[in-house]
Amino acid sequence: MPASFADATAPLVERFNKSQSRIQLSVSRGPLDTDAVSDLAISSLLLGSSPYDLLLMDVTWTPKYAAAGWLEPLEQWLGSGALDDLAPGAELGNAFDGHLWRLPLVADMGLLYWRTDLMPEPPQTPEELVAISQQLQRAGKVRWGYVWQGRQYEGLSCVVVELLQGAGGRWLDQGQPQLNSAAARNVSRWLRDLVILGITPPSVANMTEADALQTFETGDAAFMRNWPYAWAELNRPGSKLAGKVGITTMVGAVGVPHAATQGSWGFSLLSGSGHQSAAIEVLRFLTSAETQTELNRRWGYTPTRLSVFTDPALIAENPVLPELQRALAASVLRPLTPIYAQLSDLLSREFNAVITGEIKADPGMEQLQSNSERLILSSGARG
Amino acid sequence: MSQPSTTSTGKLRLTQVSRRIGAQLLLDQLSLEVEPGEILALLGPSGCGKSTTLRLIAGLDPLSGGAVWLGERNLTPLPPGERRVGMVFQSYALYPHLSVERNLSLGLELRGQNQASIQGELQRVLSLLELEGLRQRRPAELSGGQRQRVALARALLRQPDLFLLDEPMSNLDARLREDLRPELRQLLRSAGVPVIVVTHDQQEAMGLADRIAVLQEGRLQQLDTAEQLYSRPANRFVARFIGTPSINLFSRDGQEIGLRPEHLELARPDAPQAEGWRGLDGQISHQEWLGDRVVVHLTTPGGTTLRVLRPRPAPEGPWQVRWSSDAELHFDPRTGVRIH
Amino acid sequence: MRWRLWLLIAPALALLLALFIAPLLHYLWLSGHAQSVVTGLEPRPVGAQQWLRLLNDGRFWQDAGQTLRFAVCSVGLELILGLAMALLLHQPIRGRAAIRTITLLPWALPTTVMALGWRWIFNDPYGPINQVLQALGLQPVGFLANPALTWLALVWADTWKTTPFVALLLLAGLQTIPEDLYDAARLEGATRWQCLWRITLPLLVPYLLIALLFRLAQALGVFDLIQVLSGGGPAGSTESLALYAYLNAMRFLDFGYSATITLGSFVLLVLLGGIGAVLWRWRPLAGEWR
Repeated sequence: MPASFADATAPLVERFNKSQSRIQLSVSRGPLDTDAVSDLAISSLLLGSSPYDLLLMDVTWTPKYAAAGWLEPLEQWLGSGALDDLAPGAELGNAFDGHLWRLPLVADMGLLYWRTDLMPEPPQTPEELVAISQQLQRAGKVRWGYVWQGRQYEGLSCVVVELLQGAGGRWLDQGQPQLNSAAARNVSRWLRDLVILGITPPSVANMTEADALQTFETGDAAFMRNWPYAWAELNRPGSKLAGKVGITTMVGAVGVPHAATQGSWGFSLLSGSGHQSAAIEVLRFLTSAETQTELNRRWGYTPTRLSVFTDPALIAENPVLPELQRALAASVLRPLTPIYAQLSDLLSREFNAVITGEIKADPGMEQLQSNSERLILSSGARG
Repeated sequence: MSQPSTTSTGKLRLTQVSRRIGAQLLLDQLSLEVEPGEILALLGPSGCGKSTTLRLIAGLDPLSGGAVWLGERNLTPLPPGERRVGMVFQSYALYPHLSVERNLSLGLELRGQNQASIQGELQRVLSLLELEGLRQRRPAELSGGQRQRVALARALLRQPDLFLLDEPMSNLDARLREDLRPELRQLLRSAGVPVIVVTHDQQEAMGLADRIAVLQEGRLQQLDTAEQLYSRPANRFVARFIGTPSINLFSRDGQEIGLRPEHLELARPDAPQAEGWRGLDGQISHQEWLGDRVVVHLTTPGGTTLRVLRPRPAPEGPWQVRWSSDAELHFDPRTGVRIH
Repeated sequence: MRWRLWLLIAPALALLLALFIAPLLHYLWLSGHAQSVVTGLEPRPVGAQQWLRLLNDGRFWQDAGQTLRFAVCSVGLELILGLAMALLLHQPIRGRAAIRTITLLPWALPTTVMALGWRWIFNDPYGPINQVLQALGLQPVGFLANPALTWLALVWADTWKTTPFVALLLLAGLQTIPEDLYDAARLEGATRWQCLWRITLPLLVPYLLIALLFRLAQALGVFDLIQVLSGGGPAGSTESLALYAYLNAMRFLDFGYSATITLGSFVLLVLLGGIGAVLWRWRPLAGEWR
């Protein structure tokens, strides 16, 4: 698992190992970066006999790994009710092709961070976000209005997914790309306009989560798009913005439900595992309400189980939980397909081109649409 | 441009030339003169300052004191390229990437001389040194002797006012060296300019040069003809450096006596002794063949070792080493200066 | 005794076979098979289909152009700067050994670390360069948000890292040139500039060639620098062939096409080498510089 998860779960793992004597659980601490963890996992899986039993997986990996034949279906172990206790939204992205492949440990969704000290209410629509930003910028309160992830990488695809949903559009519909739609054109035009209007710095074209957080943390921006981890970061003792930040879901068109890109992490059972029943036992323990409560209390990790979200004691400690639960309920998946990585690569590349002004929004979306269609056609895979 | 064989360029004059690097004195106030058409050898063990002297004359290293004159021209302030010096390096310093022809002509090209006149001069030295057939070869494709001739040709081509040669023979085998010596001497003399040859080999110095300057530790020990250096060495160092096998030295009555091995004879102790001759008893310790002659090593009862040069090995038995008093050289034991 | 000769070179042959020829053959086989998530990672023969796809893949050709442009520019710059650096380091100056060690440091740094460092240095607006610009009252520059500037940043970072390597190689070459040659040239009135052009450079040609080949091969395979510094962006403008092949294998799990891209790059490299060799033998260029 990624290093941060390995560190956070270490005390739980120790407790698990002490509580019984049949199973000795050891956690392999991977790199911090999601892609690097993926490289490591894939390298070990390609060798045929992976030394691992369980893999902590990003939501976008599931169809790809399942199609590669590396995962073991979970329903035979956990039964059909395995997802019943999950909070609405958390059940998404665990099943593919009629099987359950993953049980979520930590929920993750795209959030709009806003400055409670600069405005009474967060914006609901793109227009409102622009208007508030410009007003604050003119008043000299902030240097920038809105920072987000515009680098040519997966983060940009996440930004697009929730905006597209909020504009009434879809990435794929019935396996067919819908990127030449009015919604997609509007979203790409809006993102480019943010740069042109000076609401977003031009450096957004190489911005990741960390870069955006850095700008927002300094107090240089009124809004930021980021994941829940930033909440703890912004409210830690000594933070300039402690107590001055609110979270909400991404802006969207009037009358369309707001959306949050889902980015949860969960455990999958590897088909090469030689200790399947023991692994399932560990999986149950690591995704249990008890574990999730502990992880939320100590590390601020967002739970996936409804019972944890609604635990009054936990809410008292962490008042932002209901807001997170609302965002999770609004969460939207990136396309569930084995060729998601290719699709996302095309999308982030094209949107990055629009953001940097390399291509205009409309021809950009036309090109993205035809490239995506060709990819799906040539790969022979269903979208 | 003048023809080297007909015009003299004036004599080379070094006045109290010194070279110092930090606290180290490489050359100490050397003064000497070389006439046009004369060949002077700088002779001494390695590190004696002979190569340093050559580099100072060529202008490759700066002087720490003194001056270098050529005729009426003071060379001291001139950069090497303006001194009109022809130099042959010990390594020959041929440009490995250029053909023989281009090795020779590069200097003239750099000076912007036109191709027609370059070709003319090139032809002259190539035929002089019998290099015509090697024009297109690279240095790596030449024998040692051929390389030396190319280096000479390059120096000659510039029609220099002064010739400097740094160990020109040391890269050749002994046989070739002896064969080439008279040829080289002839060539250098015909240039009609002052010539300095640096060497550590006394035979080479004697074979090539009119006069020899013996250097040690940056100081001039003696500047003289080969004959004078041999028979009237200025001091113990020169006496030991000149002559093979080297001179026998021993103390007697508070003086240091020098006797050359070729001036000693062996006699039976009971044989009569001529007038004005001296003798010392000795035991043969070993004998050393030189090919045509033999060096007999003897030890006297006083513990002195003497080398005697003979045409044949000596038979076993008691011997007395004998010599004429005239052959004795006397040195001041403290300063090493010859007193008689 | 022919077989004895073969016996002697057998270990070297085996190594060559294992390290070079075997992977090449495997890739050749793989390029004729589809092996991806679509086939459940089972190899399925598809003939020349992936090669046709490669020929028609605008992104492959764009990346090839970008990779070549990057390699030629950064290696060219490295040779010029490396030569200047080597000439400087060859001078008898005080503390030369220490200076040599210090100048080599960038080369000792792992590429990813160095790329992260440059990413921060070029950061807009918090990186050191933009801090200085803003302190001077200037607008910060989005170095990594514009294709041309990102490309320059990549060339610069690569040059910064590998110039010391080139300098070291050329320095070794400089040390093989006997001082006598310069003395001889000085006696012939050559200026320092003439010495550089007539002696130093021609004699350095073998070393320049080695540096060129080494660096060109490395630069044409550039991967981690781009992966960290720009991720191939903006808008794919800095993606290299190696990055494209990596994406196909490790992100898309399309091993068949990744092998085709890698082999295609290899073919281009061989063609490039062939053109270079022909030019090298071409009479008008083959003067005394060899």
